[in-house]
Amino acid sequence: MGIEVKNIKKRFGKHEVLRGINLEFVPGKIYGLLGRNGAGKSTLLNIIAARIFPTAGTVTLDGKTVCDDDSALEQIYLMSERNLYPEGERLKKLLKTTELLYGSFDYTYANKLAAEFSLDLNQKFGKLSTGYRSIFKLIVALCVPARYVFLDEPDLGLDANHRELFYRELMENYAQTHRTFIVSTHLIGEFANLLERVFIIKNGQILVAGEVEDVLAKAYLIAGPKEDVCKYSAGLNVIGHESLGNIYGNYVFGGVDDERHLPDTVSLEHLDLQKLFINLTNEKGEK
Amino acid sequence: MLTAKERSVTIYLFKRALVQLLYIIFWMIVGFVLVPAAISLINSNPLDLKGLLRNTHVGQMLFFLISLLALFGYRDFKLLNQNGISRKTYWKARLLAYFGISTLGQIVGILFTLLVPFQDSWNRSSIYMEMYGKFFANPLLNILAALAFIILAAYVVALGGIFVGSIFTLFTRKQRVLIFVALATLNVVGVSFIASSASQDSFTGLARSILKLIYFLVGDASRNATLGSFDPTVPFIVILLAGIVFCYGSRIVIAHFKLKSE
Repeated sequence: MGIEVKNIKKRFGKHEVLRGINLEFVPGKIYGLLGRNGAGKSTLLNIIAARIFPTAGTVTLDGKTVCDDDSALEQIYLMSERNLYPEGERLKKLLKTTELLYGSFDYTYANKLAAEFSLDLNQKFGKLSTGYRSIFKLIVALCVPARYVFLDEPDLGLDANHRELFYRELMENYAQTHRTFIVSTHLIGEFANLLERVFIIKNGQILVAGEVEDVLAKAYLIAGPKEDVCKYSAGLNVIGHESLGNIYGNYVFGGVDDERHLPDTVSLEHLDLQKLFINLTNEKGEK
Repeated sequence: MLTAKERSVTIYLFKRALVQLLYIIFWMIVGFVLVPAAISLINSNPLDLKGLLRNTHVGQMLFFLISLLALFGYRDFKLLNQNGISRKTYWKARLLAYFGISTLGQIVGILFTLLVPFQDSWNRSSIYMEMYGKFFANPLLNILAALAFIILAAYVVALGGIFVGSIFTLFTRKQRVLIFVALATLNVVGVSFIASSASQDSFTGLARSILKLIYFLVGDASRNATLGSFDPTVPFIVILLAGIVFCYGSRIVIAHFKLKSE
């Protein structure tokens, strides 16, 4: 049960953006969908929300095809950087329209959030700055009755204070409603602690999928003198390296077998999500 | 039967179209009544309100405006898509909303003719009544048929607007401009071709066949009926068929709507 994405492919002209994506979003989790610019994250989210069509593959929610099914689509809200709200409409009216179309809307919560973010709901959408447009869309995302909320770059234009406030509200909302949130962001460091599961997408394919804890358990930095580090890392999946003076470090993903003897000169520590992401998605020649 | 979602979307689209229509009408009143009235006050020339009312054909004006409004639907599609509405529901609701608004428009047009003084009688200002108003022996039947035809025609033209507007929505702005240029060029080439071949025998034959078809379509296939006694059966069938084509055509086109990156 949940949202199942099966073998999704998307081609724009000659450019293949998604190359057979398979993934599943189960209810009641916070997912991170991570990828570099142009990796295909937004395209994938737009396909899931039936905004565009895939070249091949299907998206189902609880077994029902999402595209052209109101009962499936009403369970999904996609907050994207694209503005689909009419510029000339006042925010209050947009909330009313959202209520009319989604069937219900938590006005009390929306008003509370608007006050916290200092957003005047009497303004027209087109008059808002990029940051406040994001805030408005985040408020809607947190107040609609959708079970699956997709947030595509929710931090766009938000200052540090507003981002902090948003993370807090997101966690509170999650704790109360236990809805599924799927966050696509470049601010991995800030989101890392909120995520339960992660998908890393590179060149239109899923590179890593799983519980954040399990994924990070397989990611190491092996540091020490270059010769010792290279010897110890032999046969492991080295995804990157760096050096600082005499200290050399290899980034490894896929685990380290227990039988391997760790020399005294070499240290072994786990990576954080951002470091893992950078090393996994670096192109050749990038450091 | 409509689902709650379909009802909500229909209400939303109906209100949107109504507000847009009222907005256009407001500016038409400003442009055609208030501004001339102000100018006439300055010039000390009294405004010919009687003439203005006589020449205002509300039904026909709304007929045109509503079909024009029906052309533009992408903004609504975007907002509805953001709010979890499927393309099928959008299509269905749009069809229903425009049925409501075009029917309302024609009722307002008829009421305007009946209630506002200085207007020609409804019978005389209606094109249908002029052509088919004496077809049935019973005058009430003629009036009912006229009402049905006017409402149906207004709706089918609005459906045509939805269909054509939907086709254009599939294209990007640049492609739309290119299509307009192509259509304009084809138009010019077509007219030149007709003009150059008008004297040829083959063309005269073709023109005669087209004329025959037009007579058939307007309900005077034998070409000996008097104006007012034409048979409305064929026009009814034609308009119904056009409605069916526009209805299913727009469903197919709207099913391919997607978010544009412009």
